[in-house]
Amino acid sequence: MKKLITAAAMAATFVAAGCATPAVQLTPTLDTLQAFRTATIPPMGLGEFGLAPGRPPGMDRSLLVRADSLRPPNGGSFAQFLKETLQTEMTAAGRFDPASTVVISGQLTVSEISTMSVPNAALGARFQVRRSGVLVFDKELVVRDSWQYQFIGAIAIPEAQERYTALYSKLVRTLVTDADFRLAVAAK
Amino acid sequence: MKYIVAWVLAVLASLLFVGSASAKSFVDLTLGDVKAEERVTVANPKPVQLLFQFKTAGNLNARATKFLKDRVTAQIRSNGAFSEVSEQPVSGGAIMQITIDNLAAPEAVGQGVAAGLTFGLAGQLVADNYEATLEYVSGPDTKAVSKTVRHRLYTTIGRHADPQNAVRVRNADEGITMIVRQVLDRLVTDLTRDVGFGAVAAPSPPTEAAPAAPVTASEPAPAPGGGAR
Repeated sequence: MKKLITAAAMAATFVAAGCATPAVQLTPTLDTLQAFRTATIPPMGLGEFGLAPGRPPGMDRSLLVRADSLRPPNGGSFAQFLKETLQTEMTAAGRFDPASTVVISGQLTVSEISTMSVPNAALGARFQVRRSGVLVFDKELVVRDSWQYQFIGAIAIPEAQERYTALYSKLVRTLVTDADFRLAVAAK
Repeated sequence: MKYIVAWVLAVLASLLFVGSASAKSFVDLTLGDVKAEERVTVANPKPVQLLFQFKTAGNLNARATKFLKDRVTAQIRSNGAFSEVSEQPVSGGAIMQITIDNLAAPEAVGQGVAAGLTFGLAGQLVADNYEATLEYVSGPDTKAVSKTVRHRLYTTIGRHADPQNAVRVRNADEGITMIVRQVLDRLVTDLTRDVGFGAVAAPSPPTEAAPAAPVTASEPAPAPGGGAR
């Protein structure tokens, strides 16, 4: 009986392990790089990224996608994943400078996936920009996506995860093309 | 109830059978390799920052991007059209983005299931379409030059005749490798032939032996036919 319980526990562990999928780090895109590379946007630094106050801590750690769960890469948080995505794009555009006096920080406010009748995903963050410590930009931005329903889990689950992950690039692009953001960070 | 269980097991067994024993892969011959006479030698190769993304039905596929990224980078480097290929910004600010999109084939799942349910007797031919796009900007605030090509991977499942105008490959991975090589080679060749590329491109030297003549080379010339392997 004891062996049976051990075997069952091991099987459950394997199933659970197989059902936690880490998100994959995104590559930079031409549109976002070109938006960053306009002459008025200076090299910038990145400050703290975390979960917005009042949000459940689990929201930053995993997302349930049917029988699977999506986790941030490298055991981190989704807020950290957003920061890494931003840093990847800024570095590729030559606009990342840890010593800059213009610093972007962020708080994760929305992180959702639904695979019900109309599958959709949403990602949002409150971004703040400080210039020499003075707040010059404070705005929440949310991006969404929706797609066609798939019954088969082997298709529906990866598609939902890819769609959600792609929102990180989309949110960064939304930030860098935001008129208020561009005005706030413009080189003086 | 036991009939339902038996049916489910039969479907699973048939799918396993079809997947392992009866799938054959073919690469379409329409695009093919770039011919020697189509190539140009870039007289003054410049550095470029390379971005690559793989999409599935228009949506970013981060896992496939990661899987193919090194392969794509290695091939662009070996092409010889650029003096340097880097993930980081380069002097001059040129950026080239390559996107390969595996276009949707909605009928594929149904065809696969049909083949599985009949243990491969209902043979099926599934076409996997790929659209590859190259976008190149020579610097910030410059207009992008864009090139697009299409390619196709065929898979037959069960008892089905081989597709026309296609070459058999050992498996899907070998097929994808050939497709990626051919689309990249074609895209870069098309780019180098475009006036918007911003470099003076001289025709490749003829492949036949020419009479000896004094030649002064001011720039290191890339290997002719670097991409056609």
